[in-house]
Parts: sequence; C-alpha cells; structure tokens
Amino acid sequence: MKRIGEARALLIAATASAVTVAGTFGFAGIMRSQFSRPSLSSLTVGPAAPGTAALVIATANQEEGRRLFLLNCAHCHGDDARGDEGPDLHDLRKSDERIRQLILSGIKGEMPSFAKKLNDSDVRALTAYLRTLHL
Amino acid sequence: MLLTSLFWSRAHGGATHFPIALVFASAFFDALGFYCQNSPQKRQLNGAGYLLIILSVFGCLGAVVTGLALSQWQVGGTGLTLRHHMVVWPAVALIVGLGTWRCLVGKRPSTLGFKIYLGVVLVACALIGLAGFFGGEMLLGGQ
Repeated sequence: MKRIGEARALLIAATASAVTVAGTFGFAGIMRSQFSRPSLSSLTVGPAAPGTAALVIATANQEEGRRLFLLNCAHCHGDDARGDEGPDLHDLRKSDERIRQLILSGIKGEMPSFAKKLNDSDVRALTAYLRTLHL
Repeated sequence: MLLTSLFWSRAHGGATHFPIALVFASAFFDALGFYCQNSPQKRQLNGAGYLLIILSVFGCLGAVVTGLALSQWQVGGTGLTLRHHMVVWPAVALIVGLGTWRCLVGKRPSTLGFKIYLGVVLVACALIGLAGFFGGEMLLGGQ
C-alpha cells in the first residue's frame, strides 16, 4: 500500500513541479508584456525622413543600453544613475574606450568585471546610454 | 521609489539564501537520519529534514519572485544570467517536487523511496549551489 501511495505522491509531485514552473514562466511573460516599453516598430511608422534610420538605430542602441544598465549596473549606481554604492554616472568625462575597459575589467575591490556577462555590442549599447546622461 | 532595481537586488540577495540553506540543511539531517538506523535520534533527524524541505519550497517562492522582478521578468537571458537560469529552474522544479512528495508521503517513507529521495535531494543541492555560484559571479565575478 505504501509503495502505491509513494508512486501516486510522485505523480502529484511531478505535476506540482511542472505547474509551478509553467505558471512562473506564464506569470513572468504577462509581467514582461505589461511593463515592456513601446516597440521600435511603433516609433518608425510612416515615411522616413533623411537621417531617420541613423537616429532610430542610435535610439535602439540607447534603449538596449538602458535595459542592460537596469539589469547590471542599477544595483550599485541607482536606477537613475545618480549613484548609490557606486558613483554618479552623469556627465562622464571618460573616453568610450576607457568606459569599455572599466566595464570589462572592473575596478579591484570596488566594481566587478562584466567581461563574462557583456559582449562588445552590449558595452557599446551601455556606453551609448551613458552618453545620454549628461542631458 | 521603493521598488527599484536596488531594492530587488537586495531583496533577491536576502531571499535567495533561505532555500539554499534550507535544502542543504534538510539533506544533511535526512542523510544523518538515514545513517542513524535504529537510533533514537533517527525520527527527530528525519522530522527536521521533513520540515526544512517543506520550508524551502516557500523559500523558493520568495527567491523566484524577487529574482524575476530583478531580471525584469526574464526567464532566460544571456551569458551568466542564462547559466544562472538554466540551473535555477530545474532546481526550483526539483525542490517543489521533493517538498510536495515528502509532504504527501509523510515522515516515514519506505526505505527504497527514501533512498531515491535522498539521491534527488543531492542533485537539487548541486543545482541550487551552482545557481548560487553563478548568481554570485554575476555580482562579484572578476574581483
């Protein structure tokens, strides 16, 4: 009797696992769609004026940079990049190359390296976003 | 604003250690109880393992919600985030399954059932430990 009970319990446990993970993924999907920003397609409707393509690419890069910033940097630099544990990142007076080096190598004892987490395109997007912060 | 990335980062950092510690402690007490055959402590050790695995299921829920809010509701990602998620989700599934099974079977499962349970708990420990390692690497990697 006990074996049958355990087998039935196993079936219920497997179902509970599947329902929990599937429910979590579904809930995360709903939350993502609720909080997602307007898509680029909504920004590019209609005939494009000269220079619009470059502007759209730059905007997309900055948007991606902001997303990456919130995921990776905001914990220390604050959501508004005004600084918390880490410094204020507005009006940076460092070159793009120096910013890239700092992001990828980190600062010993102060800031972790993001070399394993971010690729070159991510760093470019982050830098593009940081360059908007002087506004 | 209260619900910033910084808030979720700290909330996840705090919440995520509960299920890790609870699963490891549950496995430890259960394994100890298993090897204390016919000892008067066996029942108490297995009782502690039973309680802790059920608590770890609730701990998982907090860790998952804060982690999802921190990652802006991404269940995948890239790089270390992806590796973290690739081990987190199987670990969560196993912990929920183990807690449910234990809850349904009660404090005295059969010897064979308990042996299999212990093996699966060890896999869950390895996965949740690896998830914690990748999570730590995301924050402190390279230092």
